[in-house]
Amino acid sequence: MKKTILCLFAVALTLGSAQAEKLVIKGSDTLGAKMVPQLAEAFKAKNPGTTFEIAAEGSTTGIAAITDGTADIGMSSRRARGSEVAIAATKGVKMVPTIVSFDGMGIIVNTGNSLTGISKADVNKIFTGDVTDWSQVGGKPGKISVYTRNTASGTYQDFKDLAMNKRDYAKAAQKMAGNEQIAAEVGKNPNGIGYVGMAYLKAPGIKTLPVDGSLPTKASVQAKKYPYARPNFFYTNGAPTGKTKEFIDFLLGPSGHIIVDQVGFVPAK
Amino acid sequence: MMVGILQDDEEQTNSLRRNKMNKMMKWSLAVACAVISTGSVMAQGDGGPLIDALVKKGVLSSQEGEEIRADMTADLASTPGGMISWGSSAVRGVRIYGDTRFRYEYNSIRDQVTPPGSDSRQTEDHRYRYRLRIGADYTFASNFNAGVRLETQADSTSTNTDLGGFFDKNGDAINIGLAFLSYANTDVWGIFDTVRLTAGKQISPLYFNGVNGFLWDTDANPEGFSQELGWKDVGFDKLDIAFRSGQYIVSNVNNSAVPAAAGIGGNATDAWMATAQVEAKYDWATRSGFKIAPTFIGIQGDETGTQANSSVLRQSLSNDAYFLIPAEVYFNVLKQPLRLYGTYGLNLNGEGRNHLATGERFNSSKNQLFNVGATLGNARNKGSWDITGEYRYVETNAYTRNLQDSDFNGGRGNGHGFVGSFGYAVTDNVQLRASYFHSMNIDKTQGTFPAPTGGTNASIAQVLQIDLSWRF
Repeated sequence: MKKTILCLFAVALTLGSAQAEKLVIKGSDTLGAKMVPQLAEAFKAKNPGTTFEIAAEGSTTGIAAITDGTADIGMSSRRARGSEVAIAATKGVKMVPTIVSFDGMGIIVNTGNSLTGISKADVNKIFTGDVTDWSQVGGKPGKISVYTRNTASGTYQDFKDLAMNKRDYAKAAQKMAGNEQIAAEVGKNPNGIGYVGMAYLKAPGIKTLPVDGSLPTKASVQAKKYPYARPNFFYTNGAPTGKTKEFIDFLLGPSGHIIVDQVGFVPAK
Repeated sequence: MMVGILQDDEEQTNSLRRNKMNKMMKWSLAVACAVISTGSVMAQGDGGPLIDALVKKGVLSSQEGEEIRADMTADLASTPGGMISWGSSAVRGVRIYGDTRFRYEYNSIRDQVTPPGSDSRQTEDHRYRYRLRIGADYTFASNFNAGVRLETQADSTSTNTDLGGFFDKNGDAINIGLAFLSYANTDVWGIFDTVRLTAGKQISPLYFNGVNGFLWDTDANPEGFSQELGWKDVGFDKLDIAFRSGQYIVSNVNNSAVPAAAGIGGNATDAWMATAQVEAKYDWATRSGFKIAPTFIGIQGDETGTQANSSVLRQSLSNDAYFLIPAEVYFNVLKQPLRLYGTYGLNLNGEGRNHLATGERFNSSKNQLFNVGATLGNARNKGSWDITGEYRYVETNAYTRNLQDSDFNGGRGNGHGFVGSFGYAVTDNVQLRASYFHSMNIDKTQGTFPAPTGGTNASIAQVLQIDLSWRF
C-alpha cells in the first residue's frame, strides 16, 4: 500500500513538473511574429507537456531579457552589442548565440512604383534623406515616404550597418512597430519605400526591388551574395540546456528546417 | 572478423583525430588572425570583417564564426576599455587625451611710478605652478563630433594654478575649458571643399602666430558660434583659401536683474565679439610656403561703465575694432623647419579708447601693434627641439588684455620687448621648455594699460618659465 502511494505521488510530481515546463521566449519581431510561434506549435505537438510564452517586441528586448533572467531564449535579428555583452557579464550572464536562420532584408516599394531595380548607393541616399524625390533615382516625380522599424528593432540597426554605412535615418522616416506594418503602409502608399524580412515580401500591394540586380532569395542569401543578408539568433545564458536545448535542436533539425523554410526564412545549415 | 573490427576502430579513431585537428586549426587560424588585427578588433569589438571573410571562404561555418565572435566580444567586454558603456549608440569613436605641466616661474617687475633710486622699485617673486587638462572628443555619425575638456584655473587666458598651501587642494578646482558640438564635412554642395561649423565653448579657429599665440592666447576658448569654409587649389595648385568667422558672447549682463547696489543704472547691454578671417596659403614645395590671414575682430562693448560682471574680465570692455594681418613664411633649413612670422595690427577705435581711458582727446591714438619672430625646429618627437626669438610692440590702446598672451607685459598695452623660447622633447610625450619674456614701456611717461588693480605698474617686466610637461 505504501509503495502504491509513493508511486502515485511520484507520478503526480512528474506530471506536475511536466505541465510546468514552460519556455519563455522574448525579442525580435522578425523572428517572433511568424517563425517561432509556428515552431512552438510543432514542438508542442511532439512534446505535449511544454508550453510557450512568446513576446516579440524587438531584438533589444530579447537580449535584455537574457541579461535580466526573464527569458529562456532571447530572439534577435542582430548580434548583441559589446556594451550589452559587458552589462550581461557584470550580472554573471554569458551571452551565447545560436544561429537559427538567415534572412535577407528586402527593399519594398508600392506595386505602382515604376522602378524595377535600385542600386545600393541609391538605397543609402533614400534612407538617409540625401534623396527625397523619386525622380532623383530614376522614378516618377513624387516625394519619397520612408518607412523603417523602430529603434528597439535589430532590423533597424542591421539595416543602418549594412545599407546606410552606419549613417542616421532621414528625419522624415516613419518608424513602424513591425515588418507587417511596414509592408501594409508601403502597400497603401504609392510613394512608399521600406525594408522587411523575406517572410513578409508577399504582402499585398508591394513589390521587391532587386538591389544591384540581386533579390533576397534562399540561394542568394545562402551564397552570401545578397547585400542585406544577415543571420538571426537565439541568445541563451550559457550553452542551451534542458527544454531550451531540445527546442533549439528541433529548430535546427529536419522538421524545424521545413517550417523555417515555409515561413520564408533560410534555414541554418 | 576481429581484424575488420580493429580496422574500423582505427579508421574511426583517425577520422575523429582529423576532425579534431581540423577544428583546432580553424580556431587557431581565427584567433591568430584576430590577434594580428587587434586594432580592428578593438574598434569593432568583435573582429567582424575578419571572421566574415573566414566564413565566406568556408574556413569557418557561420555558427563557428559566431561562437568565436561572441567569445571575442565577451573577452573584450571584460577589459577596462570594453567595460566602458557609452551613453548613446550614436557614438562612433572616442579619443581621450590630456596633458600636465609643472612650471617654475620667476617674475621681476620694475615699478613705473616710484621715483628712481627708491628701494621699492623692484619686486620679484618665484612661483611654482602646474596645470592639468583632460579632454575627450566624441565622434558621432553623420559628420558630427563633440568635445569636452576640463582644466585647472578659471582664468580666461591661463590654465595654471599655484602649488603650495602645505599640499592643500585649494585652487586645484577643475573648470570647464571646452564644451562644443561641431559639424564637419567635405565637398559640400559642390561649392565648399571643407566646412566646419562649431557651437559652444571651443578652441578658436583663427590663425595667429607667436609664442603662446600672442594675439589670441592659446588658453582663451571663445564661447559662441564659429564657421570655417575652405577651398583647395584655388586658381593654382596648392593655393588654399579659408574663410573663418565667429560670433561670441563676451559679457552676459542681462542674465539676471542687476542689483542697484553694484552701481548699475538703467538697462545693461550684453557684449558680443564678431570675428572674420580670410587665410590664403600657398605651398611651393613640400613643407615650404607662406600664408597670410587678414583678420577683423570687433567687440561691441558697453562704454557706460555698466559691465555687471566686469570683475571677471581682464579688461573692461569698449567698442573696439581690431584689424590684424598675421603672416608667415616656412621652409626647411638644414633639415629643420624654419618659420619666419609677423603680424601688424591696429585698433580702429584706438582714439576713442584712448580718450575714454586717459582723457587725452588730442593725443595720439596709440593704437598700433606688431610682432616679428622666427622659430627653428619643432620639439614634437623624441630628441627634437625648437628655438624661437620674437620681438613684440603693443601700444597702449592697440589691443585687449582679454585676448593677448598674458605672459608678455601682463597681456597689457604700452609694452615692447623680446620673447625667447627653447623646447626639447625628452620622449614623444615628455617635453622640457624654457621661455623668457622681457617687456618695457613704449611711452615711459605712462605705465602699462590697463593698470594693475592694487599691483605694481611695470616699467620693465621680466618673466622666466621652466616647464616640464607631458601629454597622454
